[in-house]
Amino acid sequence: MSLLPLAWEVKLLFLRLAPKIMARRRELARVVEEMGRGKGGILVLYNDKGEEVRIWAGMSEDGKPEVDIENAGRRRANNEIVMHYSTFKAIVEGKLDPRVAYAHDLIYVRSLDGLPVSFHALLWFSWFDLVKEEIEGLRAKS
Amino acid sequence: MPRVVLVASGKGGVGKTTVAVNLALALSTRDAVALLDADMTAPNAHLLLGLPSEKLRESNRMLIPPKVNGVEFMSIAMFFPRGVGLAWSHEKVADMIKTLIRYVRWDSRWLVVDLPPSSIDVNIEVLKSVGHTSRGVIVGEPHRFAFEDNLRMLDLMRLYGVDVRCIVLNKFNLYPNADLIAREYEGLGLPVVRIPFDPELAVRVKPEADYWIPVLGAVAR
Repeated sequence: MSLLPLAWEVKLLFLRLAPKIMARRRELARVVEEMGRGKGGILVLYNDKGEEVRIWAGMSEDGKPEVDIENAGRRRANNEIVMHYSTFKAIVEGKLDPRVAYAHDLIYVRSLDGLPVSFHALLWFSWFDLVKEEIEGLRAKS
Repeated sequence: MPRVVLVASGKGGVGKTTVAVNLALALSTRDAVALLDADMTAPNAHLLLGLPSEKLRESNRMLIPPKVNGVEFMSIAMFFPRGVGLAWSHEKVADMIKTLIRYVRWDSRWLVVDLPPSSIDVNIEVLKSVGHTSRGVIVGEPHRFAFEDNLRMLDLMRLYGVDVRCIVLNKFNLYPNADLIAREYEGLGLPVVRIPFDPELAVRVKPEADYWIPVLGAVAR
């Protein structure tokens, strides 16, 4: 287990991911568009020490994909996705398919807009599939 | 909301999915049809119908179902990798059923729902949600076990106000006491549709086959 506070660990992980995300920003922007403007979700990560970090991820009103760690609590969100940090890390490192994590009850989704939880989950899966296809397409080209 | 046809059975493995998919495709030659595979633990309709290539989208707080072979189609199999089991509580399953029935913009005239076997909680959720406005088709094979289980299924469907239109007896010619069982079903006041054993149905859909005509007639009347 890391000795760093969870918030630092998450920020470091995002910093490591940033160049990869920036390299694919055009493709990702297209698939983020699928989610609709102004929409967002809160990602809640926790660890075994009982620490919790909240991250807002979604699209701004002008259609730009955005991630906000500092002001997550003040941003409007349609849903909240809660998971252990190790589950999240495994997903972003490509070691765990988020759909499998959801099927195996490792991810908890809370709806904040009155729609069923599964409604949000199914759209997340669809979005994830598009991201995966874009990344695979990019790999095939390079 | 389209006209809902619930394809149910008290017993598993009697050809419920085969009936649901073939019925949906046969209906689709005359009307716009949607098919929902409501089996959360063992969805198989996609094995006959195929999986869509388009991704699920949302419009105005409703999911837009993709089309396969001209039929609007939703199944849990579209969203999870092959071979992955669902470790879900009743609450999570009920939420998914609610989404698939109430939060999908079904644009078709008919919605055929392939239910999981027996009176498990998923079926009760569906029956509570749309039972009173649905037509029903019960599927079985002509033997004692399926008959006893279908009595319970018929009781539940009638309890929730489903208009049960017929009993489909699959592989009819393979069972020695098939006529006796058929008469027992008829005694319950329901038309019996006899489907002969057709090995081709195991490998492909056959909506053009004549033996579906009485099922179509019962459902569409």
